[in-house]
Amino acid sequence: MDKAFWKNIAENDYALPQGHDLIDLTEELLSYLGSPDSELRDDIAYRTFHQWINILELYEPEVLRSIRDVLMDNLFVGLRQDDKDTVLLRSFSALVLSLIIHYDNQKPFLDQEEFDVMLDAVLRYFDAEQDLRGYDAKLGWIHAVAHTADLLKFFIRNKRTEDENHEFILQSIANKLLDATGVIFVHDEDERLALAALEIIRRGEMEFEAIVAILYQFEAWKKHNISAEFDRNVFASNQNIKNFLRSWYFQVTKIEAENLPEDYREGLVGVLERTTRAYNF
Amino acid sequence: MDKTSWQEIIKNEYRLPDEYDLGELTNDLINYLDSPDKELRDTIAYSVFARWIISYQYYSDQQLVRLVNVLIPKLGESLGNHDDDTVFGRSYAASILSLLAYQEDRSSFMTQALTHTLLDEARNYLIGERDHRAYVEGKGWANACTNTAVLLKWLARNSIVRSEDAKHILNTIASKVTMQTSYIFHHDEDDRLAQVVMTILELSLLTAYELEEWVRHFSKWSASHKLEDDYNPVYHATYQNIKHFLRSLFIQMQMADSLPIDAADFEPALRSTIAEFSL
Repeated sequence: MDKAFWKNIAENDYALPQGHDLIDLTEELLSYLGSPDSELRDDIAYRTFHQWINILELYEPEVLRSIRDVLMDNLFVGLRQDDKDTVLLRSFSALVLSLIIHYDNQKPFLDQEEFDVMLDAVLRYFDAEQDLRGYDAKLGWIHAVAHTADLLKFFIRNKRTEDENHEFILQSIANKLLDATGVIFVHDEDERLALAALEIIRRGEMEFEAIVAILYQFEAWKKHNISAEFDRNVFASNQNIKNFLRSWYFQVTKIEAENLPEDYREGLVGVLERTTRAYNF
Repeated sequence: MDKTSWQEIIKNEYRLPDEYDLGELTNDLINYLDSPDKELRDTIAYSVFARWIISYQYYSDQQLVRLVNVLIPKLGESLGNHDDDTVFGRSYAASILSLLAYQEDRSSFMTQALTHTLLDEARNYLIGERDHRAYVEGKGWANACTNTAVLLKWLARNSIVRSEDAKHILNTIASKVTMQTSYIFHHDEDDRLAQVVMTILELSLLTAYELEEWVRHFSKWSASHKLEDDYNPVYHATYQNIKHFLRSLFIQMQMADSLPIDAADFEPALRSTIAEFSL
């Protein structure tokens, strides 16, 4: 199919065109996810999936499962070849996975075991992803961190997750910020990660002490990394942690009081203030 | 004088040895401010000036005034250049001027006219500086935005600063934050700029109404710059700079031990402006 074909579908409110097979077209869309052409990858594949999965709900659970299997495998393709643009396939597969989890949030079809396997693999992927570029002038949006943050947010919203999952997810977010990656997030990754962390607070299941323990890692990092000497990795992590904490703090203070137990909310705001303060210049 | 002699002075707690002339050494230090050699510019000139101006107060009032007068023109040298070594002289002149403005806060030596001149020049410099590099590999800190923010913070505390001056300073900060650039602040420039605003808030120099009017600068920017379908690095960088600056100010206000009534009244307007720069 050429681009004109897909544009035609978009203009036609994404209705499946007569005489075409959904499965064949889906395979073609899946093949676009790793494309260096952002029109194929983003404007066509992602947007069409969004419509077909979430809006028009064209897929039966078994088809969604087979799409899911392809996407999950994609997360680990080329992880170690950081000179290639294989990140595009991983990042956009994570993005489409978030549509599937979102669908399951609305119309549960996954069983607990396969859900757990997915979450576990996504956290392993997030931990291993080394290509943290947000945008590239030639390639367009890459944004693996933001896409995975969105995916984690949808996982947290899912009622199948409980406090232990939330703790793993928050730790995984913290690791991404604490790691000496040398990359400063400048494309709203701070806020997307904070929106995932905010969702944990909204669910209100994670033990207060466990949140404090993770926040303490940020304080401890800061204590060990105060130096006037310039170190690219230290400055990048410092900036990422600072921006994340501020985004999270600002979001948490916006939660209406009645939506959280008062002592939980107040305790959290207090400890977030303390951690954020450690990063004020 | 060679580096070894300076290293000796530094080892000796930065004290001026009897056999040297303060005026001559000061001229050497001023020349080092332009140097791309970070040892001369930073380890020696900045650190020695900090001791001699503030800790040991070696300079008479007249000598301090002369230093101010020598340093002000350096702010404008090759101003507008970027990505070359001229930024060091401008930025480090701002940095030494911030030491002098700090000293002025402790024991006044400047006339009101000179303080006003310095304030105007510092504001012009903040806006005019186009070299936003914080750290230059092999050459050390440039950090013009941070150094000028610190200078403005100390000047804002000066007793000659009234509400009109405070408004000028805030407008200067807003212009800097909303400037057309593809450079995203990432070395705490946001915090340093927000600290200037905090100083003005803490001193109750402006009413809540005036502060609300000021923060509308950012809403106006957001209303007149809409995100296009195509990625625009200048839009993007400016958006991030505004977002980080407003959050930094919000965090500092939240964490202040106490805020004057006008600053507290201004908080809802700040909060809703931040919401315009949130996902």
